[in-house]
Amino acid sequence: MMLAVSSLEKRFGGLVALKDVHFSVTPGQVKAVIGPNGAGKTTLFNLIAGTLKPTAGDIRLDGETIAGLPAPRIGMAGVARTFQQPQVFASLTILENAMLGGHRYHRGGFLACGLGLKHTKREEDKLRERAEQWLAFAGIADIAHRNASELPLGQQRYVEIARAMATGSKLILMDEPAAGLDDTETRELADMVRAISDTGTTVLLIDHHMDFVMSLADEVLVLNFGQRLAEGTPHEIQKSQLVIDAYLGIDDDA
Amino acid sequence: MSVFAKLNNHPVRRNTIQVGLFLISMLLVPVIFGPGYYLNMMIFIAVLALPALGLSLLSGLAGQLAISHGAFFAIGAYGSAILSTRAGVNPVLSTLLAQLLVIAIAAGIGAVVLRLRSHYLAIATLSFAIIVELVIEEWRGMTGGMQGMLGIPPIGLFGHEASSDIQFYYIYWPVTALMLLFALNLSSSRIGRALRAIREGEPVVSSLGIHAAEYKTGIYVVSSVFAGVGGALYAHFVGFVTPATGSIMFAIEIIMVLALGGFDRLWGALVGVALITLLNEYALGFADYKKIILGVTLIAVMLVFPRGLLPGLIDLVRNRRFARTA
Amino acid sequence: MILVDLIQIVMTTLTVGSMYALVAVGVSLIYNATGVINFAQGEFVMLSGMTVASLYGNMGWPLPAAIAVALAIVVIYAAFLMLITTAFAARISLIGVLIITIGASIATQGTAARIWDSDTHRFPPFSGDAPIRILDATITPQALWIIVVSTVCVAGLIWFMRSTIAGKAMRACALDPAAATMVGIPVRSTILLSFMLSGLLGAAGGIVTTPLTTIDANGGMLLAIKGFTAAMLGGMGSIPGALLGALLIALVETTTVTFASGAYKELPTFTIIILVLLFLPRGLVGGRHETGLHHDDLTRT
Repeated sequence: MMLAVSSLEKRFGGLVALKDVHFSVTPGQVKAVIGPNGAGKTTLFNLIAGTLKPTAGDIRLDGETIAGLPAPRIGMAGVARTFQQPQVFASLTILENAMLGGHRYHRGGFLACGLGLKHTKREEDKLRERAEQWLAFAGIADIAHRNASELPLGQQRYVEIARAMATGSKLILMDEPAAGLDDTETRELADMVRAISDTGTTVLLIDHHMDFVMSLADEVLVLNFGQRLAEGTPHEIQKSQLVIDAYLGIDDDA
Repeated sequence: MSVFAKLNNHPVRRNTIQVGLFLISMLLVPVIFGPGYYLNMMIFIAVLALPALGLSLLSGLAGQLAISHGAFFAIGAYGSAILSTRAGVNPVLSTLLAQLLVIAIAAGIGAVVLRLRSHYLAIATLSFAIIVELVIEEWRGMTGGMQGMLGIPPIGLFGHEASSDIQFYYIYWPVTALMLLFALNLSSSRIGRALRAIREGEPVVSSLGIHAAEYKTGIYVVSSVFAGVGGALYAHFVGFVTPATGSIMFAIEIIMVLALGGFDRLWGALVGVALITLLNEYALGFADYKKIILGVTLIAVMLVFPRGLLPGLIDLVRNRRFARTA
Repeated sequence: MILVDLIQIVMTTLTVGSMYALVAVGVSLIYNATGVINFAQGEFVMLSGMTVASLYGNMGWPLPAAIAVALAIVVIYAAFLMLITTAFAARISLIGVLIITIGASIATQGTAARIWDSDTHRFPPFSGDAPIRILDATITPQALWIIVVSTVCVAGLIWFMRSTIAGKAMRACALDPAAATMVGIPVRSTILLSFMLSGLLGAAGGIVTTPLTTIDANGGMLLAIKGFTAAMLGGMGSIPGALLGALLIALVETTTVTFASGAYKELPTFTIIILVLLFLPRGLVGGRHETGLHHDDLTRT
């Protein structure tokens, strides 16, 4: 299992955001997490990525426990993330954003960088090449030198994707990647997610666009009121009475 | 590809060329203009540029404003003074040794204080600065208390002590230039990039596997060492130190330097230091007038040009130019 | 013997603590209104003390008149501070506002030194010097004035915030400026009110304390910093917290002076500030805002 979540619980004081959540994701899979607003989906991502600590339960990445570890450690263990509001660094160029993805693989501390030692230049070049590759993968290589703040929402998403791929992570968490996109853009994004999956990276995504989700996902997990409601293939989920009741009819818009 | 485009991919080379040209021009100045009082001012500029560059690194890269650079200037100055007067250590060596103290203290303070948000960081570092001032004033045995210390040996190379302004000039400017180069390199390196990202969004940076706290502490230590070296060089130039060295007013003057030259421009810091030194020399007069002018200028500059006077003016000029051609 | 010392310590703590309380509460007020820590807070105290010292102490004006002028000056100054810290608020970062208040503080110090001078000043206590004896310990009447006036001021402020419309408006603005605007509360005027009240508190402090502790043009900054420490100790933004913090700081200072050397009396205070920031970011009582860097909630659930 790439990701195995068991008995996961998160309380905020008296409020129980997640309770007894369990599911797993096989390597290379595209799995979607859906559910009504407030179901706890983003909290789930926060727990996996390390932004929040679980109050109970376990999360294992490729067999190793990551529950409760600090976010940088989980990042280094191989989990990358894109956010609902694209979190690109506005003061950097797109290329620089992507270079940050591979940052931790390259050496060069304060002294080495300040003194401008030769090997830092070599490392920078390697970093740049790697970043350019992933920018090309995400289809935004031509705007590499623009400032990330100048881009529209949709393209900022692709910057996030390039950056996430540059981390070489085994698992990517994508939080509502199709939010704010029109039909064409959503279709292009679906192609992108497929391309990501083709590289062997495991994808776990949250979204409300049902067409998008159902066409992409190998499996779907449904959360409701912080608990696991159902898990299965898209077909099974669409047919499940429990799920239909929870949603009062599955729509194809956000 | 043009020369400039090629240089963009070689930031170290570009920085080295820029600083090299700058240093050569500075070294030629006494040759062209001959000896004079201005040399004295220019040595001060070289020395004061260091804490300014340090703060510029901290505020430009990490977006933090700390008010501890004055304290580290004092620690560097007093540390080197004590080592060279009481222990007879060679001034160059004592300057370096004093930085060990600076590094230890800065690492300790930085590790705990840098998690704080802007004004809490300012207050914490201000409190630290006050503690340092107090210790300097009260630890009479070590620091000479309110009187300070006299008779600090001048800096020297190869056994010769510097004895004239020209000699100090030719020793200090290369040092400042080298440290400027270090700062520029750091800024255009992966570390600079990581720090700028950390400044914008620390949680996101963490998800990339970057330990933000380590980077912030690192730049804080670097920034403090810049101030510490400046302090030591100051001590070995003027020959005495008092509690006013590296005081809080001094720290505020350095903030003023950045308000003038730009908070995230390293070269701008040099311009700012030159301006402040000139102002100190010709316009500021007594301590009270100085406070008024300093205070009012800080307010005015921050209201009109929040990123600093120089960057603000540059933007203004640029925009006018576009407006004419558009 | 011990009892006398104890009473002495208690009285000194109350006196000094009252002074710090007025500054600390003022800091919390402005922080609540604007999220800004006002570095020029101590100047309220300095300006009022210096004004009364020269009008009443030097030029022989009647005390009430001198007090009235001092209060007026400080209120105008506070309004001016409000203007410069909130103008162009959108463009200027928190650090920028910080620098502006630092600039205001030193400009005020310099101006005061030009208008008056850099020496310490005082004026005669309100009801004379004759010490009052409490069980063998002595306390000067002015100390009682300080404690009483401070208590009245802080109590008055708390009453104002709880019971008057204007006070409630201030609390509303502090909690949620956007919602306050929608309900029709004039946010800018309310912020102005916060500044002026904060100024009045500081001014009251300067007027009652100067006969005892003297004042000089540069004394504001140290006071301001102690005010921040106290406010943070109790929880930045909490008025009862500021009071508690002020008393605690005064206690630490007084015991340090009594049992150790007077020279290092500031040391524990500033160590406290660093410890508080590290370990007790919300303060003892817990303020409105969190200090420290926490992960923002990046999205809704």
